[in-house]
Amino acid sequence: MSLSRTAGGLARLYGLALRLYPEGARREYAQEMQAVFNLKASAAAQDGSFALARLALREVRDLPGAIVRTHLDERRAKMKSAAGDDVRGGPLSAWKVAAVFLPFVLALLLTMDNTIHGIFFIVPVVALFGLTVATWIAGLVTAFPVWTLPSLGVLLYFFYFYVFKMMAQAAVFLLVAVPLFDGWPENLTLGILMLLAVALVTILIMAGILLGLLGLLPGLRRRVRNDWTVLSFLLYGLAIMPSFMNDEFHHLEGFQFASLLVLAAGAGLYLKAARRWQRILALVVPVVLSQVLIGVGLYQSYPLESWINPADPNQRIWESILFLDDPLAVLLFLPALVNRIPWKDKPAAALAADPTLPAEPASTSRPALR
Amino acid sequence: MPSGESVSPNPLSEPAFFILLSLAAGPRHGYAVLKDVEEVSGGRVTLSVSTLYTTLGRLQEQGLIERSDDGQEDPAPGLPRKVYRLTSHGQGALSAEAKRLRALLAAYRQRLGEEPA
Repeated sequence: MSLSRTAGGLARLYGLALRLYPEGARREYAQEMQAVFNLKASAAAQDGSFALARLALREVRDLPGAIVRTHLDERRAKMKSAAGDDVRGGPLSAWKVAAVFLPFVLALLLTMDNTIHGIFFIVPVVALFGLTVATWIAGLVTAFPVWTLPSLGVLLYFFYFYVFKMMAQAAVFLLVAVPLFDGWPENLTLGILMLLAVALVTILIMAGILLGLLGLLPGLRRRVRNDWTVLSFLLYGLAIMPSFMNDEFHHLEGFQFASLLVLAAGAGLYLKAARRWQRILALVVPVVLSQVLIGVGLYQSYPLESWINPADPNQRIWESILFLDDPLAVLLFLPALVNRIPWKDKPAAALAADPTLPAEPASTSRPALR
Repeated sequence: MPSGESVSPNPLSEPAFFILLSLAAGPRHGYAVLKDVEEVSGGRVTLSVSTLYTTLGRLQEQGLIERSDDGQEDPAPGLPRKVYRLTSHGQGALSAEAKRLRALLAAYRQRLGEEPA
């Protein structure tokens, strides 16, 4: 076999090896690399078999490492892009928009457990829950990109409800209710004041949690500094679970469904809003509306339930105002205050060079995401 | 001092240094860079095509070089159509690296009082 045919064979093998590069690098460089390799192989063939063998051995030595490094580089670039897309204002792909609505759709489906039965209920619920778990993992691994925030908010809710709010209730009960009233007060006005006290302590605990989160995640901190509503969008996910967590009420589905639709619409408006005040309004109004809807629903449904206590005239009101200790709408503004903390960050130049952080946006008012 | 001198506080890898050095003489195609690196290093550094393009990609990402069409409407068959050129940041990085190497050599001479073998 002549050396030029050997060189041609090596070039074809090199072409096959180039297919192992990631898609982006292949699109950008493969043609050029192939052309350069062809020239090198032709030149080496003229210098003799030893030169050709050296060329082949050099590529065999370097190619695996180069492919792995390029895969890692491309993956890191994708992660940076995902982490920064909400502050850079880049458009979200269709599947990322779908991921934003995922927890709302799952919650809507769960409210229909009396309407849809059997496999038609279980299969979509399991599938959507699986996707939600995948979104949680993607969000935690890629530093909280915007499309994962409502789902991560749902995850945060389990801590919010079962840890932070329990802590707030215990603190108010032990430090206020027991010393002053020997327990939770029966009086409606005092009871409402206790609910508001629990809400206040919850806000303080959440402020500490947010500070801790931002302290641990400099990438998220930088994005929040540019647009604090990013963190509000995470907290927005907390509003999903309370909309369908009233198991004892069996006549509430319509109100739950409406409440979740309002929240989903708010998420959509948030993605479209160009200005910060529009974005925060797109979150606060639906949260208040969803809580009021559930409150009205509880008030309306109470007499219809089989477990009502007719001996307690206040019970119907209690049931409908219990959301008052859930300060979700106020929490949405908390990132604005947390954002005023003067963090000891790296200088701007060092931040700009940090490959783990997204690029600095041109303006604090980003365009609509979609 | 070039405006971008402080952009590369970390040492450049040997392939990166020689590629920047090659491009300091003017824009080149990938193949020309490959041949020039071998020449300028006195035959000591021969880059594989894979290493060349991995390094070119990284240098481009760091803003030290830029890639553009070579301006020819009908490039010669088989020749790559893109050229690479040094940016001002790249010039700064190259200059900073040379300064770093000079400092290392000065320290060596100061301690051992002789030229490296």
